[in-house]
Amino acid sequence: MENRFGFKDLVTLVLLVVVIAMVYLSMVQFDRQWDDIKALNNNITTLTNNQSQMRSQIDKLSEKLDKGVAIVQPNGTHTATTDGNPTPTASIPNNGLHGLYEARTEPDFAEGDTVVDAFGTQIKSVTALTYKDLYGRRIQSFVIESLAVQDDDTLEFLPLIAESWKIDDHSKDYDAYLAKKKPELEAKVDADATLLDPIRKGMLDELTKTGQKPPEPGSDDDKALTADAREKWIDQQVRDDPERPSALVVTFKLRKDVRFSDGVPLTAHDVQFSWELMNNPLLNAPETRNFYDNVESYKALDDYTVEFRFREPNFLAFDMAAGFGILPKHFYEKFSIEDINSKPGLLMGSGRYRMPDPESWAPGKLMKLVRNENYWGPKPGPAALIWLEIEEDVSRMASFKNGQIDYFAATSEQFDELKKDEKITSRYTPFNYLPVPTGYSFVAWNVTREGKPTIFADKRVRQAMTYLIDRQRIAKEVMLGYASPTSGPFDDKSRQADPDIKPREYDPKKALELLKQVGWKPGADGVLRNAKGEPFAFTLTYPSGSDTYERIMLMLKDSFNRAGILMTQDPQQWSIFIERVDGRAFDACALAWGGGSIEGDIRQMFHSSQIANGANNFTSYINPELDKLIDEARRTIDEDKRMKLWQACHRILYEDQPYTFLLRRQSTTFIDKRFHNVKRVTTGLNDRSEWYVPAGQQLRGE
Amino acid sequence: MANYIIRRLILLVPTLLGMTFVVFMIMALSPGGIGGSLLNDLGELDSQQSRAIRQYYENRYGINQPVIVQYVKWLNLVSPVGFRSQRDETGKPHYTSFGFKWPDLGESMAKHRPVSTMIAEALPITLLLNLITTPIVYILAILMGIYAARYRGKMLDVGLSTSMLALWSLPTIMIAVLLIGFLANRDNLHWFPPGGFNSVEAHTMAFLPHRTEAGFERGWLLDRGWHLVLPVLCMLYGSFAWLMKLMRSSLLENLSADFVRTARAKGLSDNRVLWGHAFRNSLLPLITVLAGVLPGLLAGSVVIEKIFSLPGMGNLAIEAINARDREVVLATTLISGLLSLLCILVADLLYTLADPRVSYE
Amino acid sequence: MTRLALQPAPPRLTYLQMVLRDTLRGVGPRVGLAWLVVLTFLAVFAPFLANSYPYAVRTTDGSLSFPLFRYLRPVDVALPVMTLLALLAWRLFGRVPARWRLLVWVLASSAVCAACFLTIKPPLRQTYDRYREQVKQGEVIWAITTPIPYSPSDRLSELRFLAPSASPWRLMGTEGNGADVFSRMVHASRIAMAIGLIATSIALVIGVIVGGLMGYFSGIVDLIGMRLVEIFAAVPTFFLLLILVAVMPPEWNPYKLYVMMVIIGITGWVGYARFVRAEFLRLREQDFVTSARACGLPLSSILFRHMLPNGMAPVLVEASFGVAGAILAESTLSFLGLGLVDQPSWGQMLSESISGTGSFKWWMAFFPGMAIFLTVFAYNLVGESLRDAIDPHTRKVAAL
Repeated sequence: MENRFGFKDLVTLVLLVVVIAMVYLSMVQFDRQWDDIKALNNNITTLTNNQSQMRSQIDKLSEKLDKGVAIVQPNGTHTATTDGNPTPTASIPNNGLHGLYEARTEPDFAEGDTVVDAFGTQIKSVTALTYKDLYGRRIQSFVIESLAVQDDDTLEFLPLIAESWKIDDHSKDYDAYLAKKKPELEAKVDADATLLDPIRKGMLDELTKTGQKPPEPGSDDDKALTADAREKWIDQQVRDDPERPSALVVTFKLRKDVRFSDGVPLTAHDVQFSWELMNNPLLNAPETRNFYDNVESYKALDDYTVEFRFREPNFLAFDMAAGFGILPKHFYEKFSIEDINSKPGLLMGSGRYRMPDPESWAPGKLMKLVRNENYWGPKPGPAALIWLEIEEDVSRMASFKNGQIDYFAATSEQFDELKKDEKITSRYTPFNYLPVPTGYSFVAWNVTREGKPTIFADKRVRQAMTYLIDRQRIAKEVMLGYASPTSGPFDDKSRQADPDIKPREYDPKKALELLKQVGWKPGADGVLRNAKGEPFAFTLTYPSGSDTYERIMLMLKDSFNRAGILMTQDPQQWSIFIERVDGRAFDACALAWGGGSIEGDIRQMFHSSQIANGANNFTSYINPELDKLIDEARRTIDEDKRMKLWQACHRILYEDQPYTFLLRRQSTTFIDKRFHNVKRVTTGLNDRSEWYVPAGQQLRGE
Repeated sequence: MANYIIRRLILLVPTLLGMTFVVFMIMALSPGGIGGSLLNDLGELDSQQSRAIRQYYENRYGINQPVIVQYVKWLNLVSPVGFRSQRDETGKPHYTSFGFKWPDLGESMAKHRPVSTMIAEALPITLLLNLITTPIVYILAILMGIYAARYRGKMLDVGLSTSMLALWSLPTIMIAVLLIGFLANRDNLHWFPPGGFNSVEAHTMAFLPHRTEAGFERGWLLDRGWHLVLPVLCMLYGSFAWLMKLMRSSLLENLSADFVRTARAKGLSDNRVLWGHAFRNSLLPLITVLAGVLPGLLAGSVVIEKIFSLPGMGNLAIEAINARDREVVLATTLISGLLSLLCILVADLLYTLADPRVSYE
Repeated sequence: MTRLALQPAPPRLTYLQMVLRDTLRGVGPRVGLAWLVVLTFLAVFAPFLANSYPYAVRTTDGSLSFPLFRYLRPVDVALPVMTLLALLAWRLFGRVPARWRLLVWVLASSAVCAACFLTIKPPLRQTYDRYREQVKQGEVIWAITTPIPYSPSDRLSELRFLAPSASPWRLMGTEGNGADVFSRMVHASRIAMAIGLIATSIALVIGVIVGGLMGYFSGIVDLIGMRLVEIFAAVPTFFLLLILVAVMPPEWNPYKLYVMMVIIGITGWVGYARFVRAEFLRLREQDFVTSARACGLPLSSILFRHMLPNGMAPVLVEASFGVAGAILAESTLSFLGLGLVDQPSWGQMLSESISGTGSFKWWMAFFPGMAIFLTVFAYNLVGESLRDAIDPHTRKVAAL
C-alpha cells in the first residue's frame, strides 16, 4: 500500500500537466515572435544593402559632378523625380509597365493597402522553376520578370527587362539545309538498317515498360514502328549535326537600370544563368526542360546583350525566349541543386513584389508578398498581396462573407447565390467573363481500340453524338449560365477560330437520322441496334472526384438513354485515368484541356504523329489534310497567313468531331469596390498590381 | 522489469517490419503502381513531358526497380544502421559506407519535400487533438461512471446505460455534419468556424485575448481553442460513452467484492468505501484500455481531420493515399503503428504500477 | 444449467433458445431487433416499395401493362423468394431438426437464385419518364404505384435539393441530382445490410480459423500468429481500409460491392482471432478436451466438434458488434467518396448535405444519418444483451 495512487498524487499530476501545457504554449508564442523577428531582420538587411548601394552611387555621382558633367534628359523616357516615380506629365512609354504608369496618373492614386486572395488548396512550393502547380506559377508572376511581356489587352509583346530585340529569321536556310540533308540521311539509313537498332530497342523497351505487347516481327505494327524509328533517327541526326543552321536567332538588348529586389543589378549573365539552371538535369523540372527543348543556345554576348538560337522554325519560338523568367544568379548560386529541389520557398526576382524572406517560406505559412521598394520601374499601389489557403469551398465562402477576402474566385454556384445578396454587391463588384486563354471540356470518341475501328470510327456517329448532347442545358443547369458551348479547340473570339462556325444545337432527330444512315436502328425495346442486333453501348471514362463532372456525366447518360444508347459511367482516379488514356483502353472519355498559351497549338491532340507511344492524340484520329495544315501553320511565322491556316483546321475539326467540344467556363469573381482601376482586358482582368485604393478608403495595413 | 521492456521493444521490430511490408506490397501491386499518379502531377497530359518526368523519377526514386529491391532500399533509408548514400548528377543515389546514420523518412514524391518535415508539421496537430481529448474523456467517464454505479438499477442508471450505448453508436460522420450544419452554418447558428485550425487573421492577432479600441479581440490562443471545440467534441463522445460503461461495470464488480463487504462491516461510511477502497481498483480496466483508446482516437481523427480540414496526420495520410505517395503513406503507417504499439506497452507497464499484484519480472 | 433445473415445469429449452429468451427480455433489444426486422423488410422488398414503374397501368387505348415486373432484376426476385423460403422453413417445419431445415433452405435458395439469374433478363434501357409522360398526356385511366413512386436513380435535374414535402410527394426531399432521398434510403439499406452481414462473416471465418489454430497449437504457431495479429492491430483499421479501397484495380469497379465486403472483412478479423485464441487457450486446459484427446480423437474433430462450439458463443457477441462496425465503415468510406459508383448509399448522401455554397440541407444529413445510427445502435443493443445473456456473471445485472 506504499505506492498507492491517492488524491494528492492526482493533484500533482494535474499540476504537472498544467505546467507542461504552459511551457508548450510559451514555446509556441516564442515561435510566433521568432517568425516576426526573422522577417524584420530580413527587411533590415535589404535596407542596409540598399543604403550602401545608394551611398556608392551617390559617391560616383558626386565624383562626376565634381568633374562637371551636364545632365541631359533623354527623349521618350520618363524623368526621374526624387521618389523614383514619374511625374504625371511625362509621356507614358509603350513598354510592359504602361499599365502601372497609367494607374499612377489617376488623380486619386495612392499607395498602400493589401489585396487578399484565397486559393482553394495549399501551395506546395514557390521555388523558381521547381514549383509544380498553377498556384506556384501565379505567385511567381509577381516576383519574377521576363525579358518581354505580352500585353494583356493587345496581346502583342512589349519590352520589359529587354529594351529592344532583333529577330533574324533563317528558316529559309534551314529549309534549304533540310532539303539537301534529308535525302542524304534517308539514303544512308536505307542502306544500313542496323543504324536504327538502338532507337528501335528504346521504343520496344518503352512499350514493355508501359505494359503493352511489343509487335510481332514482320507484322504491320512492327513496320509502323520501324518507320517511326527511321523518322526519329533522321530527326536526331539533323538535331546533332553541327553544320545545321539555326532556324531563328533572337538578340535581346537589356535595360541597364533593372535591379533585383535586393538591389543587385540584373545583367545578361543572370539571363544565361537562369537558362543554365533550368537545363541542369539534376533540377526537378523535367517538364519545363522538355518544353524549351527547341531552344538551342542562350548566350550573354556582353553584360547587356543575350542571344538565343532556335533549332526549328516555330511560331512560339520568340514567346519562349521572351517569356522566360529571369532569376538572380548571385542568389540561386548560393544553393545546391538538392536545396533548390527540396526547399519550397526559394524565390527572388526583379518583379514588383518580393517575398518578405526569400529563403524560408514553407507550406502552411502565410503566403504574403510585399511591395518591392527597390523596384526599378514605377511602384505599384497595393503594399502587399496575400493569398490565404482555404481548402473547403464552404469555409472559403464564409471567410469571403466575413470580409476577409478582397478577390474571391467563386464557383458558379457560389457566384449565382452571392450575386443576389445585396450585402455582398454593395461592397463587391461581380465580374464574370471568358478569360483568354480558356480551357475547354470535351468528350473524346475513341476511333480505334485494340487495332479495330470502334463504333465511333464513322464521323457521322460522332456528329450524331454531338447532336445528342444538350450543351446549352448543361451550361444552364450545371454551370448556371456561367459557361458557353464551344465549337472547337480555339477560343471563340480569337483569330484562330473561324467566326462562321457555331456550335451544333441539340437535335436528337437529326442525330437519329445520322445514326440510321450508319445502320443503327431502334429495336423493340427502344435500344439502338445494328444489323447484327448488337445494342449501341459504350463506356464513358472520366476522372473521378468532381461533383460538376459527375452531374454532367449523369445528364449525358440520361440523354443518351433517351435516344436508345446505353452509356456506362466509369469514373477513375486520375492516375488510372491517364493509364487508360495512354493505353487507348477506353470507348469514350471526358476531360478538359487547360488554357495553355494564348495562341493554342493543336498538334499534340489532333496530329496523326501523336498517336504512337501514348502521345496525346489518344482517340487515334487521323486526317492527312489536317496534319498538313497543322504542320504548315506551326512553321509559318507570318501571323495573318498562320491564322488562315488555323481557321481551316477549325473547319475540319468541326466537320470530323474527333471530340465533342463541350463548354468553356467563365471566370466568376468578386472584387472589393475599394480597388480602383480594375479593368476588363482581353485576357481577363488587368494585373492586380495596377489596382489601387484611394487614400481615404484604405482598409488593411500592410 | 528492464529485461521485460527490452524484450518487448525487440518484439516491436518484426511487427513494424511486417506492417510496412504489407502496406508497401499493397501499394506496389496496385494498378498504376508506386508513384503512378506522380507522373501526371501537373494534371498535364503531354506524353513527351510525362516520359521525361518518368525518366527523372526512375532515376531519383528507383520506381522501375523490382518491388523487393525498392522495399529493402526503403528499409535501409529508415533504419538507423545501414548504408549511407549520396546522389549523383542524375539524381540517382549511390551507396557509400556502412554504419550508423540518421534514420531518414525519405522524400515525398508528390511534394518533393522531406517527409520528416511534413510529419513534423502534421503530427503535433493530431497529438494536440488527442491530448486535449483523452484527459477530458477520462475525467468525465470516471465521474459519470461512479454516478451511474451509485444509483444502479434505478431508472436513472438504466436510462443512462442505454443512452451511453446510443451515444457510442452515433456515427462520427453524422455528428460532425450535424454540428457543422447547425452550429457552424450561417443558415442556422453561426457559433463556431466550419473548419480549419486558425482564423484567417490569426497571424495578426496578439497571443492572449485582450481588449482593443475596436472591441474584444480573441487573440491567437483563444482563436485556436475556438476552432478546436467542434472537432474535440466529435472525438470525445464515442470513447466517453464506452469508458463510462466500463467504469460503471468495473465499479459495480468491485462494490460486490469481498474486500468491500469487509470494509463495510468495519463500519466505514459509504463515501470512504467508495473512494478509499473500490475506486482505485475500478480504475484498473480503464488503464488497460488506454492502449486501445489512443490508437483508436488516432484513427478516428482521420475522418474528423478530413471533415474539419485540419492539417494533421489523418489529412496527410488521405492525401498521400490518393496521390500514391509511397514515402508519405509508409511514414504515416510507421508512425501511427509505432505510436499504437508504444501505447500498448505503456498501458501494460501502467498496469503493474496500478496493481502491485501484476509483475513482469 | 442448475438454474434451469430449479424452475417449475421446465420447458425443454436448448442453450440457444435460452440465450435467445434471455436476450430478448429487455425492451431495448426488442426495439433494436424490431428495427432490424423492418430494415430487412425494406432491403428485401426495396424495388416493390420504391420504384418509378407502377405495378399496373391501364391506359386509354385499353391495354393493361405491368411495368414494375418487367423491369425487375434477378436479384430483386431472388431475395424475396429466399426470404419467404426462410420464413417457411423456420415457422412451418418446426419439428424437423434445424440442421436439415438449413440444408434444405440453402439448396432451395441456390436453385431459386440460379433460376432467377438464368431466366430474368430486364430491358437494357430504363425509361422512367414513360409513365409520367402518359399521365401528362391523360392516357392513364388508373394505375397502382409503389408507396414511393421513384426509383433511386430516377433523376429529374430540375428538382434539385427539394426540401421534404407531401406535395409533391417527396417525403424526404431530393438530392443534388434530383433523385428521391427516401427511395435512395430504402435501396441503400440493401447495400448496408449486405455489406454488414457478409463482411462480418468473412472476418469471422478468417478470425476463427487463425485464432483457433493459434489457440490450439500455441507455441511457435501462436508466436507467429500473434505477430500477424499485432501487425494488423497496429495499423489503424480504417487507415488500412482506405489504402485497400483506394488502390483497388479499376477493373474490379463493377464488382466493387463484393470487393468492399472482402476488404472490410479482411481488415476486421483481428478481434475475432484474439477472442477465439484466448477462449481456446482457456478451453484446452479443461477436462473435456483432455478426455477427448485421451480417447484418441483426431485433431480436426477436437478442434471443430468439441472446442469450437464451446468457444463460439462469445465470438457471436463480438460479431454482432462487428456488423455495426462494418456498416459504419461502409458509410464512412462512401462519405469520403470511396464507395460504390452510381449506387445509393447513406454515407454518400450524408456527405452531400453541406453544399459548395455552404447552405445546409438538413434532410440530407438527418435521414441518412439517423438510418446509420439506428442500425448501428440496433446491432449494438442486440449484441450487448446477447453478451449479458451468455455471460453468467452479468446475467443478473442485465437490466436493459
